[in-house]
Amino acid sequence: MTPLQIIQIAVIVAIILLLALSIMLAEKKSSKKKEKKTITFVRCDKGDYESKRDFKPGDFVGKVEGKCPRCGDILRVYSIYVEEVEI
Amino acid sequence: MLLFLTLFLMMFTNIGQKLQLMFMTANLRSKLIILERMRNDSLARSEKVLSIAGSKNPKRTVRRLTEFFVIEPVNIEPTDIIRRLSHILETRRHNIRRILLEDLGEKSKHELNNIEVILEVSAALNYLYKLVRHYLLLGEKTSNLVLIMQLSYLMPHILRIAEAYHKSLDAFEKGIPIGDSLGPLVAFKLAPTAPRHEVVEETVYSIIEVDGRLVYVVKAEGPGATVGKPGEAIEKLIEKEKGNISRIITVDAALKMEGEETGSIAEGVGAAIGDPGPEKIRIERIATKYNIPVDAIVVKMGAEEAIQAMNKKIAEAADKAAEYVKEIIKTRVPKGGKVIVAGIGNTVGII
Repeated sequence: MTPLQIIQIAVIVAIILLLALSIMLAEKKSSKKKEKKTITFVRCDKGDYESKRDFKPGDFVGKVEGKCPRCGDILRVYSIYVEEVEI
Repeated sequence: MLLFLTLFLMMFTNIGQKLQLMFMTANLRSKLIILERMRNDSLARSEKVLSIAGSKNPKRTVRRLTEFFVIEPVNIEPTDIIRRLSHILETRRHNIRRILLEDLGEKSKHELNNIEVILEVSAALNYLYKLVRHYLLLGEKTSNLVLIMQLSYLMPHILRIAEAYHKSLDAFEKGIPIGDSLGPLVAFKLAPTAPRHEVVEETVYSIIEVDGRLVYVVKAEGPGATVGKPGEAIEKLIEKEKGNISRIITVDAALKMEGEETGSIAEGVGAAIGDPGPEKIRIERIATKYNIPVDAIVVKMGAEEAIQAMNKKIAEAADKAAEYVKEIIKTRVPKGGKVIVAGIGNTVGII
């Protein structure tokens, strides 16, 4: 085998290895699946209590949720948004 | 010899073009099937929504409303064009509402607004599908490679728009705020507890105080899916105050350019409102009449983000935009002055 042939084989092997590595990395990346979740953010009118929960049909921003567990003021939905969660 | 013959045929006959046309047409046909699936799904979902709402003939109503069209006013004679356009849009709105009321009977306006928007989304998907099919069939019929090529290059963009419309159905069915609801969300953040007063049809205002300045917060009436008539509302409030308004601040969602970050805030002047014209011109005319400065605050987002359920970045930007508006009020409106803040956009899911 001439030195040129050895170099050619080495280059081909290196390319094959790089391809295999990139495929493996891509699979690893895609295995981290993300799910979209709709969140309802609830806050007390005085601002001393806030919490997040899953969106329920009938929720809207401004909806009164009851009384604040801390100060007894009105608890209201302040925003509804979609968040990506890794599963 | 064979290679020479192949090259000769490809270069000096139109076989190459025919092959290209064949491949592109086959590719477009497969994309058209995706569009057709989205269209059919949206029509089926619209029918389901109507059935749940008590429709007597959902299929017929969906067909009537998704094929509904509007003829734009003559524009080679621009005199009075805004009044004519406004009249046509108003007629369209009333006719669509009448068709829905005939089929569904009495319903709450929020429910009707949501149904109307779901049908509008279906109509948009139906139109996109028919438009692509039209150019594909025309290109095939006339063997027009340029037409097929243009359609082929536009197809990824068309599919992105169609997908965004299709995904937006979820938000409207469940009543979740969309990206375009940013303006009304900012208005809500400014006046979460203040009572809402109707100023014109489907548009409300609240009064709050920011550091000794009186603020009229204008937004569409929620939580149904509507954009209201903010231009008419602002005009009415200013006339009611006899022009004694120091500033008008409009807050809206704006399309970002590729590379710009979703949720970034920008400030400018002019009426930030993306209506076909009648509402925007009302703000401009009344502001000019009384020499009132008009500020614009926009939050950037992609076209797809604007019509899909609001994401976290945009929801967080609403808080920042509300603070920005307060800052403008404190620095540019004199103490004791009055200012109008209008949250422009679709108020789905926001009271």
